[in-house]
Amino acid sequence: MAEKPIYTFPPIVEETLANGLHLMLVEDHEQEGITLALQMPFGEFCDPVSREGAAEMAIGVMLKGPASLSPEEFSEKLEHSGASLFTDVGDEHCILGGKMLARSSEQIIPLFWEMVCNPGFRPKELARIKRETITGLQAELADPASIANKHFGCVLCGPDHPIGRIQTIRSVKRIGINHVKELCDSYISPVHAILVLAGDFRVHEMFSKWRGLFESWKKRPGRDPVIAGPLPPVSGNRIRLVDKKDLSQVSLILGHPACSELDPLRNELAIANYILGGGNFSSRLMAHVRSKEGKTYGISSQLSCSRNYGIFSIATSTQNSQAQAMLASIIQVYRTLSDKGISQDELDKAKQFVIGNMAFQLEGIVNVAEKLLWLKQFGRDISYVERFNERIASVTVESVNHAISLYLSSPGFAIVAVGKKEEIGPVLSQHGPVETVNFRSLL
Amino acid sequence: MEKSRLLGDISDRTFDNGLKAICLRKPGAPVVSVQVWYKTGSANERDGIRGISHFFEHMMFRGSKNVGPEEHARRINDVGGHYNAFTAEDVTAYLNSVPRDHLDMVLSLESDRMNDLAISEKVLETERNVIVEEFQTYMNNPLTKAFLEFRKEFFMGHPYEYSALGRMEDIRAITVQDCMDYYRRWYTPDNALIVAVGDFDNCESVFEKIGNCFARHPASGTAAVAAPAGPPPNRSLRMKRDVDFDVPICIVGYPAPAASDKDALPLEILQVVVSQGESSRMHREIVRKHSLAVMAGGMNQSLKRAGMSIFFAMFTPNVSQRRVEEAIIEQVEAVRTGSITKAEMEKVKNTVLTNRVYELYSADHICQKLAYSETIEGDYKRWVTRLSELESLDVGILADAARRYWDESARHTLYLKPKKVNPLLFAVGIARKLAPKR
Repeated sequence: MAEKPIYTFPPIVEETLANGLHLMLVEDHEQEGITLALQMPFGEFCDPVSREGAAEMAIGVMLKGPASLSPEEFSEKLEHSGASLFTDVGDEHCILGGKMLARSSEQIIPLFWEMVCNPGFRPKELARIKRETITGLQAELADPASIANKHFGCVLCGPDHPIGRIQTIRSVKRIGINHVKELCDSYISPVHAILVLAGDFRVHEMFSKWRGLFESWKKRPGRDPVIAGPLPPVSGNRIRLVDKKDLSQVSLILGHPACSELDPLRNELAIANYILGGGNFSSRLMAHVRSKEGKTYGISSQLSCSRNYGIFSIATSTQNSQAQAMLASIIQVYRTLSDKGISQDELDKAKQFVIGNMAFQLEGIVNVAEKLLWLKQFGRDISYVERFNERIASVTVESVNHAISLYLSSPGFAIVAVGKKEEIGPVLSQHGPVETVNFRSLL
Repeated sequence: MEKSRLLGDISDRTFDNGLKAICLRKPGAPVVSVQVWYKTGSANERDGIRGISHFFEHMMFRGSKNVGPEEHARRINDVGGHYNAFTAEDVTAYLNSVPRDHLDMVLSLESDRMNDLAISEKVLETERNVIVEEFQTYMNNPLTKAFLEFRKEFFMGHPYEYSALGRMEDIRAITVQDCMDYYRRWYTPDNALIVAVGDFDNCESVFEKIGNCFARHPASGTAAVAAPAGPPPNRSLRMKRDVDFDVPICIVGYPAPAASDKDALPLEILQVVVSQGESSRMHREIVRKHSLAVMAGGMNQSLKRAGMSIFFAMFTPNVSQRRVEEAIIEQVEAVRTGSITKAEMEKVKNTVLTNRVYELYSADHICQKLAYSETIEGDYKRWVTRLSELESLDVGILADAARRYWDESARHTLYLKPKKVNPLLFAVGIARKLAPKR
């Protein structure tokens, strides 16, 4: 007998409009808010070579408002009503969104749409955004964990792969308004876009009221989205030490490619990741390295999956004097999982977590809108979420161990350490050849 | 201004042992949040045990007579929930969110560690290492380190002088006995608040469950009363730090009143007008019109006994720190001596209302707001009535508050000066100066 749905979405109306835009309206009267989220297949992978950061800047320039209003007028109109914008520029997709009061939607929805359809593209605004970005890049240099994160993709995939290309001050300085405009002209089109409008309205009223506006976005064939292919495995350790002399701690990230989002073993691998390092105090890494040995404030593993590839990684920090023991502990815990797999008890608890946690991913209209976009991105319908418990129920110890044997038994790791060369270099060299760069190389 | 949904249904209960509970039924996602806030934090520490509140926050996850080390966290995780904790100047808070069917488990776990915590030498030593790691993580960030030094100077001689991180020499010396003394003194029902918000049947049944779990714990009889400390000393200060960071930063700080003071809300509103968003005065004038800074903003930190208003700007090395500082002060002076426009007041009201609406989508946020308001502002109803309180303010009240708090005689300035000038950043600044004006 089928289990009770884990969650039931509020009423949804969806339709692909004549211009190609896919529109989804979600009626939710919990509070008097309305959220609007537009997803487009335009992300950092679209950055031209040596102009890393261009996609993010393109979205940044759009957010300064439409051609018909000065940036000052645009921000005044928006903020006067209490509304705000949000963005998320990922590797392959971006989301532009807005949060507003239902009573302000008459003013804010057309304003948002004008920004999307006829962005201002003012050179002066790009110059401002570049300065802000450069300052942000500088600020990241104060945070060793951020530095490690920025280098990790490069060590894992190489500097020429879209994942490995790093945004630097130099790459940002090379971006001109023509590059930004060309990117938007090429990729930002209603044909591949999905718009979710969720909140305090009647869907049919909302649909008839705004359909014409959303259809006014001129149809044009956008370029095909830039999507990375599967990543080759890491056969031996690839190690980069980012030298920062003032540090008494070392920040570490190590990892390797994993399965894609659409892989049949995706849920099994998520469960394996929870048991290894994703489950905080329930994870083996936390229990061994923090609770038992007190070597770190935090250690966790992550599994991030896109359409064709996935990346598994472990991140932590520890005092320089503990670096050797820390690396040994991490590798030991990882190899034990690879060799011996998981237990039934661990599986039962991990299943409860992934099923129970879904409720939090659907709390509030912003989360609901983003979850719907995520489902569409991977060609899934809402039953994937509503019946998620049934999918997880079918996971077994054997199927998780099979996923581990395929995806968490890597012979080598990409390793990035940010720390003091004199103290960390000798530790890392025990694991293979070490490439050393200065932390300022990101500039 | 329309009333936000939900808030009419909040209820509270105080049990015989002094424990106060606040409850709100929030239909929607099938989750429930439970938070326990103890009214103790770094302001209750003394020399020798600076950092014990935060140390103790860690120990609360390390097991009791009935629950094993980290089992609290694991049980929450294992049903798909999440937990967290934080230590501040006046409170130490424990936050739990779980699918709605697991409310009983959370209450039972929180009740257990309120009364039956167990601390061994071995666990204390392991956790000390973890805390030293956490301390070092903060100190390895030059901006955090410099700001903590500024904060220490700002509150010199005040109970807020030390942040929750405490002092390393004290952290290294804290004993099991220190922890147990601290536990008995502060972790009692009459010094605690429990807030539950979520998708449960009704508040009455939740109060009953809370009573069943917590009512047996004895009151200490010495419920904490924060020593009246007032604002920090009225003095001005200039600090400069050479930091291993390429972007110069100027921070200007002023004393602010305790969160319960009638002037706290006016200063909060002024902060929105001066520093929040792209339509704020600082962004318009300092970033856009005069191009003196790359980013500019501000915030108020409202605490139980005093507060701090800060304004900051990040700029390029070719701009003089003095000019940036003057530009920030000019904006502060403008609200002290001038008035807020009607449009600005409308904006603030709409911003506060929108923030409130979006907070109400999350049980966790609601819990946190109610608990803050009750423990720091003195009454959770302050949060509930904030929107109507806002309606009663006029521009005269705002300017008057700014005149009294954001005064030159109490101004503190911190200049974070890069140890080295990065030629690339310098070039960015020069290029900006040479760019044609539009």
